[in-house]
Amino acid sequence: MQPVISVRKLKKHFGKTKAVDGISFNVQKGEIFGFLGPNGAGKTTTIRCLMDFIRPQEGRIEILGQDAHQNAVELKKKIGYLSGQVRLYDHWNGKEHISLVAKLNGNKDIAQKLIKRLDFDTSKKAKTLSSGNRQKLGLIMAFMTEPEVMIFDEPTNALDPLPQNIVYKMFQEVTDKGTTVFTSSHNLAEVQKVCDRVAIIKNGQMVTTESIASLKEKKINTVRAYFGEDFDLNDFKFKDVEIIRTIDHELLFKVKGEINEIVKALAKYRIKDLEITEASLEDIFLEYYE
Amino acid sequence: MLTIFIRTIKDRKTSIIAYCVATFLFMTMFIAMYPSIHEQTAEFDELLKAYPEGFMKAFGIEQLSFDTVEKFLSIEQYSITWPLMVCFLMISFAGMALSREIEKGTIEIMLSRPVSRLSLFFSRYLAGVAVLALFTIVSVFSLIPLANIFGVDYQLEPNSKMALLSFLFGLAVFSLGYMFSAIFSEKSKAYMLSGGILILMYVLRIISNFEEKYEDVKYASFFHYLDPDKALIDNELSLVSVLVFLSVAVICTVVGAIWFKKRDIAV
Repeated sequence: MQPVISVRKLKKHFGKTKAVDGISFNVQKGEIFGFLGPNGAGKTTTIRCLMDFIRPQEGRIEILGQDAHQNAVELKKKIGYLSGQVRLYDHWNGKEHISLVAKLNGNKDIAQKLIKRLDFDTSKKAKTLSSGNRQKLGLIMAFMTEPEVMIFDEPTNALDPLPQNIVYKMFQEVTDKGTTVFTSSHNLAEVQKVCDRVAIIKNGQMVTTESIASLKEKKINTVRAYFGEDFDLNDFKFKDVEIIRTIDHELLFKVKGEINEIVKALAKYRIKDLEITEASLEDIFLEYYE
Repeated sequence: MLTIFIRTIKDRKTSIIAYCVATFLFMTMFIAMYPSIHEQTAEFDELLKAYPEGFMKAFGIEQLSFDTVEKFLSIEQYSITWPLMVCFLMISFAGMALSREIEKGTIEIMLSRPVSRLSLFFSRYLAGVAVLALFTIVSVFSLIPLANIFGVDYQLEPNSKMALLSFLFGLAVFSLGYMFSAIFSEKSKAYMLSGGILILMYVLRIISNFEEKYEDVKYASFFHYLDPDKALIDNELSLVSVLVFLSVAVICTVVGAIWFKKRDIAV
């Protein structure tokens, strides 16, 4: 099946800074694809290339089978976009923003339904809106044309939990109808809750692209052992073991993968107490970031 | 395209109205003053002759008489007031149209919709041209009702030629400013460069008037080609001026459009 978004060997350098350095990924129809990475990793640069705001030095981007640069105007009829920080015309009210989008797109829209659903007051000027309400207006403008592809940069930024949940529900509803969602996020709980697959980018390079389920399967355990006697630290120096600290008879370490070797090493000693904690998704992400 | 054109005009309506009212008030002041000045033409001619030569040269005043309203307007309105106003209006409009939008990030609203960059560029450009046309019409042709009210004789043909020359001058200024607005992501840079070039052109014209050996530098100045005496007093429209203003407008617009189409627009 042809991917809805296909990025091949994308490179975008700003002088000596390699903002994006040869990344590739595909996003399939109807999936919610999370794009994760620390600040400065290249997420926003990638999104701006997808939107044809900036042009890559190398690589190819196809959306719905069309070149994202050559067919930008045609494609934008089918794309809903929300930037990381919603930029609005200060002296316009919500109605004027929505009306502009409706006129430029020229399609029937569902703005009224969204306004009601997100409980948004369209009469207020943008300069008087709180950051949460600015985000709501941005979301209405992105969703109102019922696009086939949605590209979001931190979509629930500044939203309270209640509207956040409405947005997650909206994501689910649109993807059920076949819309594809590409979203960057810092919020790991959000990614875990909403996304089907995730790509992790670091220093402009793709670290991994995996499903949330397979990420969760990556075993990382934190082990805290309290010894009833002196112990030799060398007994615990294995390839996938990272010693975090030792205090008196206490040893704290992180184990990636199978834990058998460690259990055998621990069994040589008299153990007073033992805690094994499975790593959270956040810890797994941090492993990639480091 | 029409949506962006109308929206651009709507967004700038306050400043457009303010400039039109200001230019109308200036014209009202000049026309209201003129009958009494006309009565004392001989005294004023003597007074003007007493002005330092350098002052007259600095403002390009050659025809030292107020015996027709055209001569009076050529000195009072079109030597400095009108060019200054149109420079402020059009450079400000140009800077707000693109570079300010890039600086504030609001351009993303347009670019994320099915609008090509060239369509955005030319919609805003045409909005600027429409504003310039309106300002020129108000500032030049407000003479007609005002002259009738104050009983001043005027000639339509030289004033029409002045309107066309003024419009072309404004178009060249606007196109220059718009090109910088398309190139830079900060409006202050666009303003600084456009304003700096216009000030330099003004200085060049003054230098060329003062120093014979620098006479030729006047050809690098828009203000040399905006010759109100020739249009209003001699009733002539200089083909060279028309060609220079049109060429600058076309070159700057094409360069600006190509640059804007190709550039990265990142906030």
